[in-house]
Amino acid sequence: MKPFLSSLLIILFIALLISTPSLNAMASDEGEWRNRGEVSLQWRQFENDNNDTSIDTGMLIFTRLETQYEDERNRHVFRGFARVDQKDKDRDFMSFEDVYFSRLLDEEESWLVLAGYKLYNWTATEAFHPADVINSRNFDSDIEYFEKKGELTLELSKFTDWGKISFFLWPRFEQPQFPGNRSRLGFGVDLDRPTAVDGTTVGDKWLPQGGVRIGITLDDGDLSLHLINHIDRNFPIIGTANFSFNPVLQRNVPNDSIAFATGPTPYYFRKTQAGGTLQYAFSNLLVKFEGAYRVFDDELPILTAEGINRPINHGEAALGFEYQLPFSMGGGDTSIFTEAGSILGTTKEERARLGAFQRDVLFGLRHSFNDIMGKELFLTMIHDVERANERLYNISYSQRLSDLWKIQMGVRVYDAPKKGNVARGLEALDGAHHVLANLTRFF
Amino acid sequence: MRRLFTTTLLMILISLPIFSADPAAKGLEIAKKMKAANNGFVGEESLMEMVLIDAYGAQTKRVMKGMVMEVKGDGDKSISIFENPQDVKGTKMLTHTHKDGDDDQWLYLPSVRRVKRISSSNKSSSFMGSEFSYEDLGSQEIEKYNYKWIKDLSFNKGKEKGWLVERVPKTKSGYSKMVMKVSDKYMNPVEVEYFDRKNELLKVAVFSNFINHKVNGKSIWRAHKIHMKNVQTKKESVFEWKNRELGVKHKDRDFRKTALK
Repeated sequence: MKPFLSSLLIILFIALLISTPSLNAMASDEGEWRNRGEVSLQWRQFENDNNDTSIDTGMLIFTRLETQYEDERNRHVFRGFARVDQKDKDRDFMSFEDVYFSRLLDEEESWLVLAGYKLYNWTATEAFHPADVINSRNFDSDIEYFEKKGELTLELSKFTDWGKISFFLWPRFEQPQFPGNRSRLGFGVDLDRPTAVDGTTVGDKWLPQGGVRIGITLDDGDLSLHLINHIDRNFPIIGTANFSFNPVLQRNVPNDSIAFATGPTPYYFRKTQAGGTLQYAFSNLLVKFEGAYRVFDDELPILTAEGINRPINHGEAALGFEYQLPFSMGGGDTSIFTEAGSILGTTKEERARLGAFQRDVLFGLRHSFNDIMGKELFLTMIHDVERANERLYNISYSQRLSDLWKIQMGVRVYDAPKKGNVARGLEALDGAHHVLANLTRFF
Repeated sequence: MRRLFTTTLLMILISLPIFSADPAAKGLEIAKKMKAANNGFVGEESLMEMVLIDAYGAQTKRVMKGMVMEVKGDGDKSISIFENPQDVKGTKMLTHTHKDGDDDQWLYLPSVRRVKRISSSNKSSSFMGSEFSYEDLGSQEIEKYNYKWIKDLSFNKGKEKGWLVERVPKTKSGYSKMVMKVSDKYMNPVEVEYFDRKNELLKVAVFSNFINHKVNGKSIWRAHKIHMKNVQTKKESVFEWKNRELGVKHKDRDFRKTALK
C-alpha cells in the first residue's frame, strides 16, 4: 500500500475515533449506538540476523474502530483496523473485519438474516484451530493467532431452544495477506497475489462458496458441527500453474522462470470440510476439542520448488484441557492449559508440507493477578513431537496504566533449525526471535 | 377438666414463636421467607458502578450493565456487559445459575469475536479486581447452603427487628461461613460477615439504600448499595446500582449463548 494512502487511512481512522461523540453508548428511542476504538503504538525488535535486506525493527501505529447500532430487530456493525509501519511498508494493512447488518425476520424472533463482511470465530481451542477456517488470514502476525479479514457473507440463522442452525453463502474469495520479502516472518520472497483455484479455473475472486453450521448447547458443554464447501485459506501451494514439460531437460519448467523465482503464487484450492468443536466443563476442568476432515479439488497441478504438487486430503484434530487451579495465588487466578494437535491420514512428509503445527503439543499458563490494573502473565510453549528441535516460546505480560491506557510486553522465541534443503513449517521462522511492546489508548 | 386442658393447650400453642425452636430449622425458615419475599421480580435491568478503594484510599471506578431473568424452578439467568475500563468494554458474561450442581458460564471476548465457556466452579475469584467475589454477586440459591438461626435482633433503637443467621456453603466455596444480619422489614441482609476457609473474619458487607419496587402488585425491597470491606487487606469496594428496574420482561433468547455475539 502506498505510504500516502496508508497515512490517509490512519488519519481517517483517528478522525473517526475523535469525531464520534465521546465514543460512549448513545441511546435513542429506537435503539442504541455503541462505539469502541483503540490507537496503539507497537514496537518489535528482532534478533540481528546479519542480513542487511531484512527488517529487524518494526514500529507501527495501529488503529481500530468499532461502531454498532442495535434496536429490537436490527443490528448494524462496522469494525475495521488499519496499520502503518514506519520501517516496513509491506506491513501497512487495512482490513474490514465486520461491516454488516442483520435483522430478525419474524415476530418470534427466531429467524435472522445477515449480510455484509463478517469475522467468524469457530474455534474452541487456544493454539490449533482445525475448525476455524472461514476467514482469510494476515500471515504477518502471530502464528497461533493470525489476524483475520472479514468475509463477504449472506447468512440465514434459525434460533432454537437447543442452539442455532446457520446457512452461509460466501460469494467472494478474500485474499490472504502475506509478509513482504524483507519481513523476518516471511518467506524471503515477495509472493505474487494469492489466487483461488476452482477446478481448473484460476484467478476468479467471485466464486460460490457456502456451508451450514449447527451449534448445540448441552448441559455442561457446547457442541458445534459444520459442513462447508469453499476456497481453502490455510493450505496454499506456492509455485506456478503456468508450466510445461521440457523434453530436453526431461522435467517440468515454469513458463516464466523469473516470476517463478522472484514471486511465486500461493494457490488456494476449493475444498469440502466437515468438522466440529466441543467444549465441556467438568468442575475446574474445561475440555476442548476441534476436528475436521478436508477433501480438496485437486485437478490443477502446481509446479513448486520441489516438483509437481497437488493439495492433500487430510484430517486434523486438536484436543485441549484447561484447568483452573482451585486455590488463589496472591489473590489471583491461575489456569494451566495443554493442547495436542495433529494432521491425520497423511505421511510424515505430507504433514510437514501441510503446516507448521502438523503434530505438536502446547503447554501454557495464564495468571491473572485480579488487581485494579488487570495485570496478566501468559506463558506458552509449542513443541513439535514429530520433527526434532522445533519449538516456539511465548511470554507476554500486560497491565492497565489507567482506565484508558494499557501496555503489553512480550518475548517470542522460534527455535526450529532447518533440517533439509527447503524450510518446512516453523523452520521458515527459525531465529526470528523478537521482543515486543505495545502501548494502547482505548476510547 | 377437659376445658382446662384445651385452654392450656391453646395457650401453649399461642405462646410458641412463629419459627421452629430448632436453630437449623429456624434458620432455613428465615431463608425461605427471604426467598419468598424476593421472588417474583420477573426480570431486572440496571447500570452498575463499582468503586475500588485500595489500602491507601486510591479509587478506581468500574461500570457494567446488568440484566437478570428470573427462572421458575431453577436459578436465575444473568448477563453483565462491561463498560469500563475501556480495554474490556463490550466483554459480556452470561451465567445460568442452578439450584444443584455448578452454574453454566460463558464469556464473550469482543476483540476476537469469541464465546468461551468458562469454569464456574471457582467462585472465590475476585470480580474485576474488587473485594467482591463471583460468589458474592451471584444468585444465592438457598439449596446451596445450610442455615442456622443464632439470635433475634433489633435495629434502629428497636424500631426494626430481624435475625442473626449463619449460612454455611454445602458446595465448594471461598468461605467457611457467612453470618448475616437480616432485616424483617426488607427481608434481605443488611450486613454480612464473611469468614475465610480458616474460619477467620475476611470481609464485612454493609447493604444500604434499600428501595421498594412494586412488581405485579408485590412489594420487593432491594439494596442499591453494598459496601464491602476486607478486614485483612484493608481494601474496600462499593457496589452501586443505578437506574435499577425490576419487573422487566426479558426474552429467554437474550440469555442464550447464541445471543452473546
